[in-house]
Amino acid sequence: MFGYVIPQKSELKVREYEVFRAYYCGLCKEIGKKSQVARMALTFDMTFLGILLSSIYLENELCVKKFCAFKMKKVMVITDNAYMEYAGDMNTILSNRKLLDDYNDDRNFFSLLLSKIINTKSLSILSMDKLIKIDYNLKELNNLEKLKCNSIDETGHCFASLTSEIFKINEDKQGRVLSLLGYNVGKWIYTIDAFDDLLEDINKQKYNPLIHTFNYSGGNAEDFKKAIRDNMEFTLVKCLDEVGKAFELLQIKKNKAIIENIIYMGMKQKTDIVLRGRCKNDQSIRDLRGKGRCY
Amino acid sequence: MTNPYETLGVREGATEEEIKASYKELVKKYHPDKYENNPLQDLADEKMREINEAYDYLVKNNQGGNNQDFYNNDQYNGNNNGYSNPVFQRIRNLINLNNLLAAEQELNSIHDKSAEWYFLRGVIFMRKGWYNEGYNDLKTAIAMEPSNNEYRSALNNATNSNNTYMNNAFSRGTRTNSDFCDTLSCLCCADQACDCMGLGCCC
Repeated sequence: MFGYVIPQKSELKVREYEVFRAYYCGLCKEIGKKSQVARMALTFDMTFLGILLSSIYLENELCVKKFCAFKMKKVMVITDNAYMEYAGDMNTILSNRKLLDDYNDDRNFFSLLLSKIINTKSLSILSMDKLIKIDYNLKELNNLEKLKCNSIDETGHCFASLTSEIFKINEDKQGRVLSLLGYNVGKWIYTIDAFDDLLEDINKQKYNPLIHTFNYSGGNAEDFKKAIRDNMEFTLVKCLDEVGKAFELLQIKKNKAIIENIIYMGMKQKTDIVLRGRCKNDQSIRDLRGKGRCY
Repeated sequence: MTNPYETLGVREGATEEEIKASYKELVKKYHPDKYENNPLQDLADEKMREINEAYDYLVKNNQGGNNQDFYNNDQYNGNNNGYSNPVFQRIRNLINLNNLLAAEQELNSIHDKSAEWYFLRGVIFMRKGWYNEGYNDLKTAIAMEPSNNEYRSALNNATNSNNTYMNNAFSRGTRTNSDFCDTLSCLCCADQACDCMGLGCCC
């Protein structure tokens, strides 16, 4: 579910890449303030959230050099930033809920143990409020999955509503735009994840909304995946199109090029890769070092 | 009014050609047609008004330039020739007001699923962000009434918008030979894997 919202590194200017990395490292530091272990679950997706919100609402970026125990050297990190703290909280919440979900699915006790450590005990007030809404949507999603819902849109809607809440941190005009942007980002993530996992889910006989939406009735799974590809492309690109349109209506103070890279290039490239089946990238919690398999 | 140069994205003292070129680009970006089935349509309209104001101001100040409205703002009625029954008209009005819940409820109370019924449901789905259902319903409407231009236009607009996004995305990147790009992006994938949660431990 994580790791789809990324920049296209090769198309970032060196300066832009370093700024993005400062946000990434800044997010790591923020998470680390509340839990050292939770840093392992750091995602690019929440880095995107952090840099987007900061670039809309903050006048000045504060960047300092801090020592990173992981890289064993000093690195530039974004600091003193309430939006990064918020993104950090969201990262922790989503990681914790994913661990609990993994435990419920596979009875993996390691996931259960990790969920106790990467927990939601020290959140800000805004984050706690969001947690209630996130849990509500996750519960809806869970119910639909149990009922073997046959609509990728209906199941995706739950996840999209969740991300819509996460992105909308104010009730101002920008908040309205962020709400729609977040909705489409979430729709895109859920749909692309379902398509990416399709073959594995068919083989393991796990629920996947696409199986029921497009009436898979046994037979060659690869052929089925190919047959639904055009429909999937329409939905995925439409999500990105709407993300782009919403983005154009935001008043971004800085880092516009980095965010554009993610929306128009990184996510687009990810779409192409998943649709054409070249590389599989699954940054799940258990894949702590993020295995990228190319075939 | 905010700084008109800033709104149009041109430097102070830009020539009329530069202003016109920038204006054309912005109209393409915020054109009402692009935001036709979009909940943020009013914000796009606002942005368009800002841009037009800025353009009028700058062009008038440069010379007695002619003001051209590059667009016309049509309410969503499509090619409605007045034949559709009053319930469908009511639903169309609800869609225009972005009251999708009411529109959907009214639609569900109709049992005769005509082409127009599928079309309107398709439009509602697209606005809701349920793109797969929307796509299917629009295709169904077209299949039931292939000669209807309104239904075809709606699907074409959606597909064209997608293509605009893809072209936009494509034009930003370096358009090199795809083989090398494939290798590079594969390396990038692997690179991100061995980055061990960093974006480049080797640099």
